[in-house]
Amino acid sequence: MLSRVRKYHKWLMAFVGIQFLFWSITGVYMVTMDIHYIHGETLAKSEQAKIDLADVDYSIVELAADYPEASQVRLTQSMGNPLYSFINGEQGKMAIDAKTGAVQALVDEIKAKEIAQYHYAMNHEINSTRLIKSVTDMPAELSPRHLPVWRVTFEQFATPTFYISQQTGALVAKRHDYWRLFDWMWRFHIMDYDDGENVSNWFLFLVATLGLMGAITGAVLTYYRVLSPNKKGVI
Amino acid sequence: MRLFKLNTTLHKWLSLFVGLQLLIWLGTGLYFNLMDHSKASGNELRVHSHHEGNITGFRFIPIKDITSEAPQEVKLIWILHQPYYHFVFDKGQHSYQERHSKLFDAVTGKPFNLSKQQLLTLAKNSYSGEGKLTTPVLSQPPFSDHVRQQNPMWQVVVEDENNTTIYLDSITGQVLRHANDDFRLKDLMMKLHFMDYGNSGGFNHWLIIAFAFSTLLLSVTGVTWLIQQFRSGLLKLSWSRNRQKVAVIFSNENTVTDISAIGSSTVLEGLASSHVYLSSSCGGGGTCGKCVFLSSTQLPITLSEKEHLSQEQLKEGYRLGCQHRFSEISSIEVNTDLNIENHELVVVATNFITPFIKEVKFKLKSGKQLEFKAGAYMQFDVPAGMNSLRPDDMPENFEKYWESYTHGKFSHDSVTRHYSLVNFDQETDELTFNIRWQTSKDGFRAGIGSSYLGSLRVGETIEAKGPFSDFYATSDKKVRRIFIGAGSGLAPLRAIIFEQLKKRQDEGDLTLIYGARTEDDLLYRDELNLLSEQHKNFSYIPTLSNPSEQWQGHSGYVQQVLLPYLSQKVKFLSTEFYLCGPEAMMSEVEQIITDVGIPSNQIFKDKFSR
Repeated sequence: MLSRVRKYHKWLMAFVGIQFLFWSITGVYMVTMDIHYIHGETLAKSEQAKIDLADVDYSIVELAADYPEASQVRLTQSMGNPLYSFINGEQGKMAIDAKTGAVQALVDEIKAKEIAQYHYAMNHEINSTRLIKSVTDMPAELSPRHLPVWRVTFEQFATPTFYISQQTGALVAKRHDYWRLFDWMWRFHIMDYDDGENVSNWFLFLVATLGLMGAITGAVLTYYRVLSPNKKGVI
Repeated sequence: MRLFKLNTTLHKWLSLFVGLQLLIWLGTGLYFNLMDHSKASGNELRVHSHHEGNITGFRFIPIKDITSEAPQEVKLIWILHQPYYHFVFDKGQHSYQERHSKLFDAVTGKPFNLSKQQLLTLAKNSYSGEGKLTTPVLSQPPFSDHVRQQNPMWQVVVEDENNTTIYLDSITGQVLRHANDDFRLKDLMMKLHFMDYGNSGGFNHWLIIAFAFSTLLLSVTGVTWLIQQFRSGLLKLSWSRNRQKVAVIFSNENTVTDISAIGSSTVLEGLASSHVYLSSSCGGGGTCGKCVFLSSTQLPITLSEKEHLSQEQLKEGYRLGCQHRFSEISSIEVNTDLNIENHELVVVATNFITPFIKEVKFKLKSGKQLEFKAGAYMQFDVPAGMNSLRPDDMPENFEKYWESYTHGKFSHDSVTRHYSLVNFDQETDELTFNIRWQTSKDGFRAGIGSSYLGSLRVGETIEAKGPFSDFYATSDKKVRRIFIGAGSGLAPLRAIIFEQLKKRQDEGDLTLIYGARTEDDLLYRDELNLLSEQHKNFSYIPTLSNPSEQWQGHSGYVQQVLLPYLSQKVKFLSTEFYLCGPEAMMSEVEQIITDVGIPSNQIFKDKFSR
C-alpha cells in the first residue's frame, strides 16, 4: 500500500513538483514584501496639506454657470494650489484653478517633472519623462482610465515611476520594480502567463488538481512514516 | 555524505509541519480557480443606481462659506438626487483606512446627517432581491464581513435565503459592500489561503511568512530528491510492460525460485508483485534502508545506498530493493521468507512413455499461466493414504518389465516431493512431469511420491508449490553447452534445451549426452532426433547400458561417451556443463570435467535427490 502511495507521490510530483517550487518562491516573495510597500506608498510623501478655503474665490456657482455639463466635481489641490477637477460632459477630464477659474493648462514636461519631484519621497534625479496618450503605447502596469499621462522615472535601482495626469496634474499611479516583480510572481502563482488576470485558467486547474493528489499521497506517507504507531509491515 | 539523509529527513518533518496548510492552500487555490466570480463577489443582487443631479438645477452655497475646519479635499456628491459637500479632513491611501470627514448640505451649507429612512432607501436601491430589509444599524469595527475596515459602517440586514447584509459608508451612505453566504465562503477561503487566523486582513504576517519559508524548503528538498531519483535512473518513464525473470535465492530456506515481474518496476515492487516482501517501512523511498538484497552482479551504488549500507556490504554486493530496477538484476539473494503461492493442479493427461516413467500433464485449476525458467521444479504435497505397489494402467508392451513386481497396496504418511518440469513456460499451457515409478524392492513399499503421482487419473487434483529454480541456463547466447543426463534426469535438461532453441534462439552449440538402459527407456527419443535435424547447432547422443542387438548407437554409461568426446573437442574450456541424473553418475562426470580443467562456475548440477 505504502509503496504504491510513494510511487504515485513520486510521479505526480515529477510532473508538478516544479510548480510547487514556483508556488513557494512566489509565495515567499508575496508574503514577505509588505503590500503597501509594493504599492509604492513609500515612494510618495503622504499628502497632509489642507486647502485654505479662503483662497477658493471661484465658487461652484460660477463653475456651474461656466460648465453646465460638469459632473463628479471635486475641490482638490495640486502642489499646494486649490483646484477643481471634474468631467466636463463629453470633453472629459478637466481641471480649473479654484482661485481664478482659469483653465489649467495641460501639464507639460517641465511641469510634470516639477510635480513628480514635489511628490517624490526620496532624493533622486529624474531619469526619463514620456507622454503616453494611447492604450497601444501604454505599459501594462497602468490602467487605461488614467490616460493621458506623463510617465516619469527616477534614477534608482528599483526604477521608481510616477504617472501624472496630463489634465489634472494628479499623481495617478506609483510603480517600482518591486511592484513589477510582484506582478510576475502573481502570474507564476496563478499560472496565467499572458496578462495575469485569469485565475480560472485550465492550466492552473490541471496542475492544482494533480498537485492536490500529490499532496494527499504525501500526507499519507507522512502519516505512516511519522504518526502511525504501526510502522512495521506497512508495505 | 549524509546529505541524502538530511534532505529526505527534512522533507519528511517539513511535510509534517506544513502539510495541513499545504493541503489548505491547494484546496482553496482550486476553489479560487473554480469559483463563480460574480457570485463570490456578493454582488449577485446588487444594482448600481444613479443619483447624480444636474449641476445647474441648484443654487449652491460656495464652499468657502461653509463653517468647517480646513479640508484636504471636498467632493460634490449626490445622495438621492440632492447635492452635498463631502469634506474629507484626513484619510489613508486606501478607503478602508481610518478617515475623518463630514457632510454639508450644498444648498443650505448646514451639517447634514443621513436619516435611517434615507439609508434604508439607499440600501433598497442597491438591492434587486426579494428579501425584506431591516432597520439600519450603525456599527463599529471590527467587522467579520470586512476585516480590514477601520471606519464605522451602517449595516442593513436583509432577510433573504442568502443572508445578505448591506454595508454603507457611515458618512456618505455610499453602498460599500453586499455580503452574503457566497461572499462569506470566498472570504473564508481567502482567510484560509492567507492564514489570516489572527484577522489582520492581509497576508504580510509572521505566521504565513514562517510557513512560506518552510514550504519553500519542502519544495526545494522535494525537487532535490526528484533530481537524485532521476540521476539514479529511478525516474525514467517506461511504457514497456515487458516482464523479466529473475532467480531469487531465499537464504533462510536455501531455496531458489524464479520470480517474474515488469522490468521497469523496482526490485522491491517486482518482488512484492509475486508476494515476496522485502522488509520496508518507508515503502520504497530509500529512506529506511531495510529492503536489502544481495546481487550476483555488480550494480551501481545510489546515494541512498551509500548512506544506509556499509562499505563492506556494498563491496559484497548488497543493495536496496527500492534503488534498482528489476531489469538490472539477473539473480539475487534475499533474507526473507519465501511466500510462494500454492497451486491446485488438475491432471489433464497421463501416459507411460517408458516402462517405468509416466508422463503426467497438469493444468492450473485457476486457469492461470505460470512463468518460470526452464529447469525449474515444483514441490508436491502428497497426502497420507493407500497407494498401489505397481501401476494398473500400463500398456501391454511394457508388462514384461514388471513381471517380477507384486501387486498390492501400501499405506503411507503425507510427504512432499520435488519434480522437475519437462517443458518450458511458453511451450504449452500445461505443466509436464516425468514420474519415475520407484518400484517396490521388498514387495511391501513402493516410492510414495511416484506411486501417488503415478496413480493419479485425469481430472484428479493435487496441491503444489513453485515453480522453484536453482538450475537454469545462463543468459549467454553464444556459449557452447553440453548437457549430460541419465534416466528421468532428462526432464530439466529437455526443458532447457527446448527453451534455448525454441524461445531464446540460442546460437551456441548444444550437445545432449543421454544415458538409459534399453531402447525402450530412451525418453522423448523421436522428439529429440527431430530437434537435432531441425537445429544444426543441436546434437543428440544417446547411449545405452543394456542395448539390444539392433542398437547402432553408443553403448555404455555417459561417462564413457563423454571421455573420448572431450578429448576430440578443443574449445571446451569455455563450455558450460549441465548435469542431471543419479548421484553416482553426476559425481563421476563432475570429476572427469574438473580434471580436464573446467572451472566449477561452468558446471551446473540439478541435484536429483532433493
